[in-house]
Amino acid sequence: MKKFIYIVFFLIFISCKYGERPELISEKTSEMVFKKGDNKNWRLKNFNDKNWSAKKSVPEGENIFWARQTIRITKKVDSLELIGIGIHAFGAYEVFWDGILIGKNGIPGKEKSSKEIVIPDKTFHIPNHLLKKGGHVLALRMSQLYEKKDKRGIYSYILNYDFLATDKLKDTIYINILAGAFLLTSLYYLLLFFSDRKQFGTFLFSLSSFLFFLLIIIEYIKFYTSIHYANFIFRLKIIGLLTFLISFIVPYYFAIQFSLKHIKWFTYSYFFILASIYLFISDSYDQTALALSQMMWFSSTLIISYAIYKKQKAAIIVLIGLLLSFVIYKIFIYDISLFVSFSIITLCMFYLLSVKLKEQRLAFEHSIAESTRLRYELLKKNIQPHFLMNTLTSLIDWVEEAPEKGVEFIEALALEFDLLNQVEDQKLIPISQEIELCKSHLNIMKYRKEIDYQWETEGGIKNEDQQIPPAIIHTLLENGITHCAPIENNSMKFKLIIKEDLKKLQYTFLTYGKVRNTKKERKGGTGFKYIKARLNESYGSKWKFTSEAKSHGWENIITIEK
Amino acid sequence: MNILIIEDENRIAKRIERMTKEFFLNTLKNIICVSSLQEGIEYIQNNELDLVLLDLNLNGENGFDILQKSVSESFHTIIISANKHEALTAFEYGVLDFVPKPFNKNRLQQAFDRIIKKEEVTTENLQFLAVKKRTDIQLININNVLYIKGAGVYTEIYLNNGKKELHDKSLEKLSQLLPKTFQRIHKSYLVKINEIKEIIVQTGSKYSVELKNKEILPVGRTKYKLLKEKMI
Repeated sequence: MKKFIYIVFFLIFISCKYGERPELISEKTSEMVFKKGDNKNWRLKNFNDKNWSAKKSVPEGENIFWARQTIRITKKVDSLELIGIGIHAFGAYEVFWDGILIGKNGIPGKEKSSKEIVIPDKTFHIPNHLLKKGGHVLALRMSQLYEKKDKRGIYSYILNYDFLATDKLKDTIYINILAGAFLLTSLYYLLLFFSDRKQFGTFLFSLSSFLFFLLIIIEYIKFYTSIHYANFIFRLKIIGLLTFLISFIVPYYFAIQFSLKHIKWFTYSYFFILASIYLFISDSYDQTALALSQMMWFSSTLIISYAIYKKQKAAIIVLIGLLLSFVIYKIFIYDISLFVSFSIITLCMFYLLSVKLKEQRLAFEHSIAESTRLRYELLKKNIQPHFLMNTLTSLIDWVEEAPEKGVEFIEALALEFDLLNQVEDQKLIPISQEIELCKSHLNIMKYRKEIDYQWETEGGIKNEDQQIPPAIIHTLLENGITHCAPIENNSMKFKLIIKEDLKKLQYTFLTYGKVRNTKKERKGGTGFKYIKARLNESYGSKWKFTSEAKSHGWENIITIEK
Repeated sequence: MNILIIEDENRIAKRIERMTKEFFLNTLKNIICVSSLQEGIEYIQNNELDLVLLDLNLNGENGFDILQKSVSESFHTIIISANKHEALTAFEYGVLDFVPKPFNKNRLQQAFDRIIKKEEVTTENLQFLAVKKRTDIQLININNVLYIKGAGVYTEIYLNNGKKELHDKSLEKLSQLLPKTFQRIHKSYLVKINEIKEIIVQTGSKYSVELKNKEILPVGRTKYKLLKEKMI
């Protein structure tokens, strides 16, 4: 199934083709020249503009200036074909073709009062009788009230009118589908995050999808909405900011998902580098975006290479995706490459997220199974044959030999069963309850072994917050009874020391007795497994457990970090 | 009778001791309880015994080591244990009986009956004969045994690979443990029936059997009839 999906994506990808552009029918025969001032004759085809300046300089306020350029029509135009001229320029202008007004994007000199939305990109129809083969003159009468500092020139292109009018709109259709997909993805994962706040990776993915959605919309919004040229730069600044945020979040996401070491250190230094690029490489907005996204690509690749080195799941596929995105970046022009390569990176993130979610689900299922197993093990304590049958045998003997004691024994047994039933479905119980459980167990063992067992608790039981997973001390107590023999006067003492400070809670459990058979290692017993599994269940990795023979008997220390 | 009880539960040890005393009465010469494997092994090594009563789960340690040692000795072993699922393995090793806990007087005495009556045990579960070697104990699969010959208080076990092993148990004790496929044909011989090729009748009511490996073993006059019935 996975392979099938990859193949489908690959086929879709290679089927993408850049639409054919119509034949060029013109060439520019001079640079655009400029002159401040206003003169009706400046529109004329035969006007001599030899002393005009090649450098655009914008006059004060709404004052008029002119721009001229000679263009040669190189092919004979079919009399029925619509030909247009697309112009990109800041300011309000009137367009003259061979001295004849063919259109305008606003009223030059009256930008403020007319309140018209003066858009920087507009397409005008050139009547066919004005398109004879040979030289022609494009003249613009214009004013530029805003963005005077922007030094961009004036661009024009003569092509099929329909192509000029619809080409970018067609791109917009597809790109908006993409944007919709990102928006939905973002919302879906945001909701997922709300239902489980611990999934920070999900949130980052949702956020980057949303930022990417915004980036697409804002990048392409100019093709279907009229934006005043005064806001053109503002839009570019938003795009820059979005690119900056995405470039930061994507590697940060990878760092978190691949559990990078020193993540704080990485985050701060990466942010610093990105911020420097954002602030200092600002010659052109496209250059800044390019540098930022290259930085994103570079650092993501570093993180993923590290993950591969650490043999992390899914890292290789993500790296392949990144390399592919880089190849595309290099092949296509900026507008296209940005989106295709970002889409691939997002797909990688998507894939990684699904892998991680699966891992988490498996871990969760495992933890449920583990809890059930531990609960079962706890219940089994008192019905496993060694305990139960030995107890019953002793019990029969007490009943036969000393019925009154036998009744006491049954009562002690009933108490232990009752206590175990109370805690069997708990993950943590108050230490006072655990002590009660231990004492009742000792009471039973007194009847069985006829040894004088003593219990001592040291350190205050302050409150209900002092908790412990059920039957942990109980298990240590069982071990103590099993592995230690009583000292001379047929007695054995157990001592529980509770210590608590701001950082940790410590239980020390001591057995005073003769250790039997010290040669054998006792590290992997089922009792220890139970204790460790219980501590894992409740405290993750924030615990320590040691158990060793001492001169007085046995010493167990459980330390729980707060 | 010299009896050793290996049991770590004091109350139960006392119960076993009491019931054992009640059963054997004045035939009992010596009875002692120990509560750990270590003490048990030491006692077995240094004392003459007729019976060991053994708990397989002592202080959390597996009693199968001591079980192997115990069954390789001349005396019988009876297991008294809470873990019923270990019964089959215990019988495979060659214990006389397995008494599950909790037990009562009758059940324990039923086990003791097997010792004094010297009757053949109904169990068919014996799989191994534990033989003492210089440093350790070797388990011989009874499938490899052809016949067993009594040699005073010891026995000689003849194997199908031509080798011979010594066992500390007497022929009587082994015949109690071995399954019915082994037949007593003579006061000194215990033979696996399907290893017998034919019964040879000689003049003067002398009988013998020829085994598949061409060995010839004597057959006791009193055993002949029983053997013949079984062979048919």
